[in-house]
Amino acid sequence: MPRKTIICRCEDITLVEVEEALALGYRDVESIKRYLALGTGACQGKMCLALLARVLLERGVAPDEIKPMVSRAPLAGAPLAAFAAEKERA
Amino acid sequence: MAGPKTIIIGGGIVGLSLAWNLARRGWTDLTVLDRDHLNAGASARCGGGVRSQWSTADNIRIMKRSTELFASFPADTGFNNWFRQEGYLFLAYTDEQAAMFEQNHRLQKENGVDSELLSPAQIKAKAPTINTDGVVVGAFHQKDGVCFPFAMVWGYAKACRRLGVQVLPFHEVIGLEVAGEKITQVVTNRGRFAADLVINGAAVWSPNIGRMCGVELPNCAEKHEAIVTEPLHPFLGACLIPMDSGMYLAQTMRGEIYACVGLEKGPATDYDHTFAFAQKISRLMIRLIPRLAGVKMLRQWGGFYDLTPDTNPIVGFVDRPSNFYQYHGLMGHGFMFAPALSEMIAEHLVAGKLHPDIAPYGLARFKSGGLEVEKMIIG
Ligand SMILES: Cc1cc2nc3c(=O)[nH]c(=O)nc-3n(C[C@H](O)[C@H](O)[C@H](O)COP(=O)(O)OP(=O)(O)OC[C@H]3O[C@@H](n4cnc5c(N)ncnc54)[C@H](O)[C@@H]3O)c2cc1C
Repeated sequence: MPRKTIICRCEDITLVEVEEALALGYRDVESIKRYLALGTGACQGKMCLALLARVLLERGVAPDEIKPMVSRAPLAGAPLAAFAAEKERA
Repeated sequence: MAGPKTIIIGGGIVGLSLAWNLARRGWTDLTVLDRDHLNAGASARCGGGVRSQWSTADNIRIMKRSTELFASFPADTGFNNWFRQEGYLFLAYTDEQAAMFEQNHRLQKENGVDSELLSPAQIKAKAPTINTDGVVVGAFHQKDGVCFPFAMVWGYAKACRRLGVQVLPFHEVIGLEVAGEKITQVVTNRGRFAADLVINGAAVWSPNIGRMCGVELPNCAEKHEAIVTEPLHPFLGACLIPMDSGMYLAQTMRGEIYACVGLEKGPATDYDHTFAFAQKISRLMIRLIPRLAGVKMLRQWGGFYDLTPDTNPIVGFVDRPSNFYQYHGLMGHGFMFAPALSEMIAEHLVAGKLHPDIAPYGLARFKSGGLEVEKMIIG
């Protein structure tokens, strides 16, 4: 992959930046997320995670050490009106 | 002179800002230990709100200084913290709230904070998208603002490392060894660290650290949730706090709308996000800014407020062990207080000068009933 390859499209994060994070010792997905804000944009990691996993694998991180980011509600972005209109739950 | 061998437990904004302030004053024999990656605790979960509109004189003064430090952070550390000063706008809905705003406003003026009271018409002019139904008066201060929380942690960590501080994530403190009056060793899951001075900056987890050497702490972890929406074109200058709900709502520099509001009071053991919160916050957001109805929520999450019985932080040495310093209990506003508090605490530790604004914060105060309660705690 060319060094300017975009890994996280929402936050404009390139391969060079991911490599810098790796060089600083951040080797797990959660640390890299908290260091680069990768995966914190509109897609919430749905687009970039696979690419990041590939980079980590290529740089020698063991497959079982590559865990996805913590996933939180909502699973997909939804309008505030939809949450507001929902009836009270007992 | 690298100063005493100092171990700071907790790598949130509290631990890192103190480390940087100590290192700048020549104490570079410093290690910051965090059990997790950086940006794991409250410091990464917060709203990044920074304001001087408080109700006690010392809080107003401390935040006046902290605001200056947020503004000079890029120059001081070489790191952009994305701090945007477009004010905080509080909205009062009852005569009682209005009277409190007036009283706070006088005290803020006396302490050099240039806040203003706004009529509903002035509020409309400043923030045309908001619904002002029922609003009696607004309180506004232009220099208040919002900062990107991750960036403060990154900036401090980077600046610390440049000064030779060891910042070590994934080091969980599991024990403290005491010999005589002093802690001599800090034990982690990855080895031991000799210590002349130990600083407890582990926020809601500070009582766990205290217990490792027989110090009982009164902190209580209270769950608070938050959401962000998809990023929008900048349209909202000020951070908004409507006092009828205590919601906090701000547009960040990234364009997203961040919002939080209190839900369950009292001690919590988890900060899982709930549907009840998503519903409550969505209703409040739409009531305040009707055009947000169609905007998408992207993510919700939770974190802990670090509560103390009298709403004030716990800062200072304990009697025993004599080299164990406390710095926690920052409620729901430690992000904004940390830069100024850390500056005062570093002066205390390095130069022995105890600033009068932090002098009352010792643990011993709880034996005599605590301090004046801050009224402008929101959420
Ligand atoms: C939803 C929400 C919104 C908020 N909004 C604002 C706001 O707008 N403005 C504001 O000023 N404040 C706000 N706050 C409060 C603010 O986030 C906190 O007061 C502040 O971040 C506290 O910083 P800290 O460094 O003490 O805590 P933390 O960032 O929680 O750091 C404590 C660290 O200690 C570590 N630790 C714990 N146990 C151990 C151990 N055994 N060994 C090693 N390390 C350990 C943890 O991993 C953690 O990183 C908000 C908080 C929440 C939850």
